[in-house]
Formats: sequence, structure tokens, C-alpha cells
Amino acid sequence: MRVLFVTDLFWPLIGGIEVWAARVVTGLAARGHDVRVVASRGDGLPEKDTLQGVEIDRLPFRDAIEERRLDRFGEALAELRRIKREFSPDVIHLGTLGWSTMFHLLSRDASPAPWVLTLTQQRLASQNVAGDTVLGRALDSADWVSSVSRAVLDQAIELSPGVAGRSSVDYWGMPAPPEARPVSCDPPRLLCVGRLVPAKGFDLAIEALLALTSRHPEITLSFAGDGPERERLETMAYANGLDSIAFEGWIRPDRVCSRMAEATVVVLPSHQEGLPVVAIEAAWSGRPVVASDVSGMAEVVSHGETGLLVPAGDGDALARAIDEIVSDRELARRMGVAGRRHATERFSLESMMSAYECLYERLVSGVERSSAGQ
Amino acid sequence: MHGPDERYAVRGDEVAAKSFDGEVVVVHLGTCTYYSASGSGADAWTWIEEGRKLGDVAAAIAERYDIDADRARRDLTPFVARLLEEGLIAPANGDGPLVSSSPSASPSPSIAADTDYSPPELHAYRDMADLLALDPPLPELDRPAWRVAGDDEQG
Repeated sequence: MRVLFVTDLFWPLIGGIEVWAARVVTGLAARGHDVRVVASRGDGLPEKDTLQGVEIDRLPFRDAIEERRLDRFGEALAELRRIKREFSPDVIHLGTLGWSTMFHLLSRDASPAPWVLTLTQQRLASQNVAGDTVLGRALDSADWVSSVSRAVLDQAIELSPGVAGRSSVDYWGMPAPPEARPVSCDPPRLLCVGRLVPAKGFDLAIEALLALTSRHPEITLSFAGDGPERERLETMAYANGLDSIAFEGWIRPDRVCSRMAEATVVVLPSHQEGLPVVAIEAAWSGRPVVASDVSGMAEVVSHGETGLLVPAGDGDALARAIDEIVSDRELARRMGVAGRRHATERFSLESMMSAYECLYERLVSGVERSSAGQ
Repeated sequence: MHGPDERYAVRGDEVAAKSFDGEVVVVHLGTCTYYSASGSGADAWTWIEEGRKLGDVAAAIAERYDIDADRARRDLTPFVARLLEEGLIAPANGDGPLVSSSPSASPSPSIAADTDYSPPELHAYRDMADLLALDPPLPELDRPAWRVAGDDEQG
């Protein structure tokens, strides 16, 4: 099958969507499909590239929209049309809702192929879905809406009820990392992974550490990631004399699980999440998770079984939950084992790829197209 | 219809537009709304942008698409009203010499000939700014790239 994958965010940039998209296209190619990628140009990346044999074109979607460069707009649209005509895909998969979505909508005349929209955004509910919006048009006309979580899909259906009959929750999967050694609580090591941005709520992890230091003098906290919040978080740590906090910067996506295996607990105090990839990685790494109970979090973290969920923004509850796990080595180990089992059942690369393959087959054979918008 | 002798000008302080391959894309910089038009809509935009009188624009559309002149005028009216509502054009002041035009003026070279007529339509895309705020790819962040052996053969 010929699959055209269109996305704003893609390898080799680091991020949940970027890594997932790379896994999907290389996974499809490994299963014998003819895959081509159109991604947004930027960040100094080459206009033409390949990933494990998959051809990538990077078009100036971002310049066209963010810089209001209409010359780039024309170039991107013409190129996308050309690629659609040349490649003649059987199915088009949009990996993101953003710049590229508008270009896809404007170039639909270049390919009659059915198309899938993957939804990842966690705050859809507040969006305008009138007929003259990109989101409204996309939800109306996508042949299939594939959501990363039930929580995100519910929001989409609330906005556009017609989506209910042509949508699915397709959890992101990843290759199974090697089995990690059992969780160690001596000393307790907390780990936060991700972009250092306000939405991740990482300041709450520092507050929790502060609350736990007297009870667990050896406890440490590490941040793997970077971002605009780093300076504030560093200032916060030093102001409190917390030399038990380390800022490690970005770590490569293929090394996240081995880094997690060194931790006792993975902490995700996010204020919002579509599908928390870090929680999936923690589960695969056999590590308990303490996380805020937002959006799709409960679909990854089973409260009391693979970790503990606390109310978002509640630093005291976060500290108590961490304390409960790091004070009970058997509990920590049980949760780690349960997390790995949960990941195997729900977040495997094989099940994700099979779900997409099956979906493409149904769309191409016409089984699912009759209910789609025009 | 707005008067056949009326001319309009693109609000250049707030609006940017570009025509390519029989299509026009317009962006209202103030609202970050994008608009597209193709076929007769792209022709109409281009001719309005050139400062032609509306009557001449309608006549040129009638000629290009081989349709009745009254129909062209009727279809052009709501299109022009929409452009005004969206703040994309404003009445031009009458004394400026814009461009000479006539009903039989040659089509602009950037517009591809197309004889399949459908009334001019303006398609708006209003929510780009909102969508980008949903899950920003952090353009302010110098994001690292990761490549491992065997991943790629950079072209």
C-alpha cells in the first residue's frame, strides 16, 4: 500500500509526536508498504532527507504561516500537490493538526485518497469548529479520526458529533525495551522527563522534593529535558538549597527507557496531557509513575496498580504519593512489574502498527468511507 | 450589486495576497485568518486588486467563462460584499488612476485559463493561531535533533 504521511513535527526533532511519527513510517516501511513523508521545514533540517529508506520532503509550512510568507505558501502548496500527484497514495495520514492540515485541505484536489487525521491535542474542547475553520473542516471531511486517547476523542466528538461514527482510539506504541532490573528505593531517585514548559508542572516536583527531604534525606530529583522553564526551575532549586536536584538536558529518545531504569519513580505533574508518552515509557521501563490525573493520564497510569494519580496542581498530594511509593520497596516493585505488563498489553509497537494497517485497509477497500464527509 | 463603476483597493496595511496557478491566497495579518479562492474567485480578486471597476470585472468573468453578463454580475455581488465584510478590501478613492481596464481586457498572466465556471467563492481558515496555541512546536526552543547510525542518508 502507498501511504503518504503528512506532519508538522517529525524526526529528527525530539518530542512525543516526532518520535511516534518516525516509528509509524519506519514501521510501515518494514511491513512492506511504500511510504513517503511530507514534513514541515525548519530547524536547519534539509529539504530532502531519508529515514531508513523512507523519502522525506520538508516543505515551508511553518514559514508560510508563522512568518506570513505567501511566496512560501505558494511553494508549499504547489509542492504538496505535486507530491500527491506523483506518489498517488492509497491513503494519506495526517500526523498533526496544524500548519500542514490547511495545506492538505487546500490540495485535496490533487489526490482522491482517503485520509486519516491523528488527534493529539488535549484542549480541543475550547476550539471553534465552525465550517470556516481548519479544525471544523478537518473533522468534517476526514475519512477517519484516530485519537491518541479516549479523553481526546471524547472532546472531538463533543465538538463534532459526526466523528463518533468514523473514529477510533489508537494508542501509541513503542518497541519493548530490555527488561529493567527491579525498582530500588535506596536511595529514592525521582525522575522528570520532558520539555521544561509550564504545562508540565515541574515546579510541583521541586516542591514535593522539598517536602520529602527531611523524611528521605538521600532523595534526589533529576530533570531530563530542556526548555524555557529551565532557568526558573534552577533558580527555584538553588533558592531552596536543593543540591539534590540535577538538570541533565535532553537525552536521546532511544535512551529514555534505560535512563528511567535508574530511577525509583517517574514523576509527571502535568497540568495537561493528550497521551503522556513519558508515562508509557515509564511503564515499559518497569517504573512506577506518580502523575496528575489529567486528560489521558488515567489511560496510561492505572491508579494503585502501576502508579498513583493525584489532583492536578496539588503539590502536597504529589509529595504524599511519592512518599507512599518510595517508603515501600515491595509496592514500588509491584507497580513496576504491573506497569511493564500494562505496557505490553496496550502500548506495543506491533499492536499500534497492526491497528493502522487494518484501518488503512478498511479505508482503501471503502468499508469506512461511506460515512465520511465529502 | 455594488455600483459597476466602483473600484476597490486591497487593504495593504492589513492584508497580503498572492496568486499562483489559478489560485489566490490572502491573509489578514490582524486576525491571522487565511483565505483562498480559485477559478472565477481568483480572477475576480486579481482584477479587483488591479483596480478595475466592478462592471469591468463582471464583464471579464463573463467573457472568460462564456457566461451571461447578468449572471456574472449577480455572482460577483456577494463575493465583493464578503471581501468588504472580512476587511480585505475598501472602496478606492475615485480620483486615483488605477489601471486602464475594459471588459475585454486580457486576463492576468498569473491566472490559468479555466472555462469551468462556478460562482466566485472565498474560503476562510480562521483558526490557525488557535490551533498553533494548542500544541506549539516551540519555535523559541532550540530543539535538538537525534540521528543514529543507519537512520538516514541525508540528502
